[in-house]
Amino acid sequence: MSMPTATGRFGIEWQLVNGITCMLLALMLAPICMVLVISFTSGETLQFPPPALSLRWYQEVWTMLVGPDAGIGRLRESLLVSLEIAALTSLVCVLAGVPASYALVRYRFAGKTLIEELIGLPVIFPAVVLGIALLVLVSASGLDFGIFQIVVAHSIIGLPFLMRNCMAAMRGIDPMLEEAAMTLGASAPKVFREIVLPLASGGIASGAILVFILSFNEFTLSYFLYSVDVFPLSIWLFQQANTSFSPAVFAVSSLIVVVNVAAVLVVDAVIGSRGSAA
Amino acid sequence: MEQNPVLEIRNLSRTFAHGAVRAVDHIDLDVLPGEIMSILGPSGCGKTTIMRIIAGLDSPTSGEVRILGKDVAGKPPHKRNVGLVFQSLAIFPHMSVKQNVAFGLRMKGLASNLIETKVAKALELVQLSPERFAGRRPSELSGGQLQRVALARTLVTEPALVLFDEPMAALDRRLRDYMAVELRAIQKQLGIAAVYVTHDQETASMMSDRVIIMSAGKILQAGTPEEIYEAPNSRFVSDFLGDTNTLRIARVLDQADGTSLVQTDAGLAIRVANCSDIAEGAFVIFRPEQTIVHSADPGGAFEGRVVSSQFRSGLHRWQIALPGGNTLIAQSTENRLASSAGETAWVTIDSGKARIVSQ
Repeated sequence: MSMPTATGRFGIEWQLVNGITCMLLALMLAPICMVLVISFTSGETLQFPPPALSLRWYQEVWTMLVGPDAGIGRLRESLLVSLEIAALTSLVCVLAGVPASYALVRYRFAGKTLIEELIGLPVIFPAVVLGIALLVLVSASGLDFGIFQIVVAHSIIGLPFLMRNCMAAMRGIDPMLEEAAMTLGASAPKVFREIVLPLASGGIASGAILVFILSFNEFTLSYFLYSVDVFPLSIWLFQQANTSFSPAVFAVSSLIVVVNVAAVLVVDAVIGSRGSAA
Repeated sequence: MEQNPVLEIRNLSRTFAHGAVRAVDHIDLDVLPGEIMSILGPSGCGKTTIMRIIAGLDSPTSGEVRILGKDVAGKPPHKRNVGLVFQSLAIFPHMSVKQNVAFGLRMKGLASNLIETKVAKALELVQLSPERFAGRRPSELSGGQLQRVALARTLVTEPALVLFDEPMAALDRRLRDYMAVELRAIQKQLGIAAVYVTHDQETASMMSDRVIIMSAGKILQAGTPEEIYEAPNSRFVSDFLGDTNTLRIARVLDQADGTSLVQTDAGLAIRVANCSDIAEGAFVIFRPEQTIVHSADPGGAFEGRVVSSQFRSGLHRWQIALPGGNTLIAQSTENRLASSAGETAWVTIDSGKARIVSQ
């Protein structure tokens, strides 16, 4: 919170700050809270507030996931595909982003500034345009890349997030630690493995989890690139919302929120534990 | 006996900013087996650059570095067998004390039981009990203990040459002196050759066999700490090593019997043990302890006025203003002047010690 000013913590400024903060929080949380509340409805409709609370829709979702008819609703398939895409996207981003971040942090070379700018570009680049571009590209190639066309698309938007975390962590490493390792007999690859990776692991992990969440929730690019065989969860939700307004969709949404929050908590735990150890 | 130097530097130069900055300017130096040589100079004099070039962390613009007789040009740091103790110590924060010390041995691919023994030995050498300290994290250690870990980590790899980049700069005076004595003892015990880079002349004097004084990328003077202190070849060197009284010479009055009588700008006549040619604009320099103050005129002394007096670590010190504008610093173990500021005092110079420098 901001410091009390000269007018004191009961002054008009303070009340204004408090008011704006509360309003923003309400704006951010209200829709999600509504989804959470409706998912516990006992009714058949999306009535708010729900007539009574029950777990019937969670039971329904459970059946859709593991029941004998799980194949028909495609929820399980979509969930697994989304998890797979998110995991692969994180992996691709880590493999490409970690060495690239190191190069950008430690070395000076021609075109470095350009690359730094390019990395930031997808963030301001409209996802719709990127989606169209990739769709054209994939169609033109005439090939079926299956899951990888979405993985590549997600990696393009995920990479900057990973690299930003990673570069911040690497900038925090004293270059003398690397030089000390060199004088102690470590070759460049060993310095990277023994010093840079362990010390940047917090940043890499938080970046990777961020990319995982980003990919898992991503809709726009997935919408352009999904196929009958590769049907991510976000697309599944979109179609369900278009065709049936079953509270089961809200139960699934709530579960996604839980997954996201859990991931963020994991990031905090990872960074927190490293912070105290260092 | 003629020994082959561990380190030979020949005509070494390093320029930055496309030659605009000459950090190291045609340096030659040798380090013999078992000796500590200090490179002493103010910050920015090029001493750290030399050290980084020796370690392979920087490349010279021209010149040669030989370690154990072999030119190491183009050799990466990890193949040079040169240890470096950093100013920041650079202890790996994600490793325990034991892992830090074992790092170099692990990089060499030694067997784990051998590493175990060597690490324990190295920790004992720097007086860190392996039982108590091996498992500790660097964040749990004091400055002095970190120092010891850094030392053990470097020495355990048995480098041909150890470089020290002011590793004790962050310690307080007392601990620094203590560590300097201890470091010296360990170095002599191992018979290892070392280069100690510092701007702290007291530490350098305490631990070095030889000292090189640098300024603006050049070596000004080389010799034992005592030689350089007693016979500095320039005002800069003299000032850098301690308080110096400097008087500009106006003319030479007389030269006879191996001595010269010179007259300073302020009109003082001083006899010095030097009768060679004295260049125009030369200076006569002498240290505060090479003067004697008197409370009564002993004859042939300079009369002045006491500006201030201090007592510090068993030494009395006076600033004495002479007529003509010069102020001398005098020093003695005895309180030769009971007087305070404003009173008259007389100063004589131990003329055998006063020296003439041209710049």
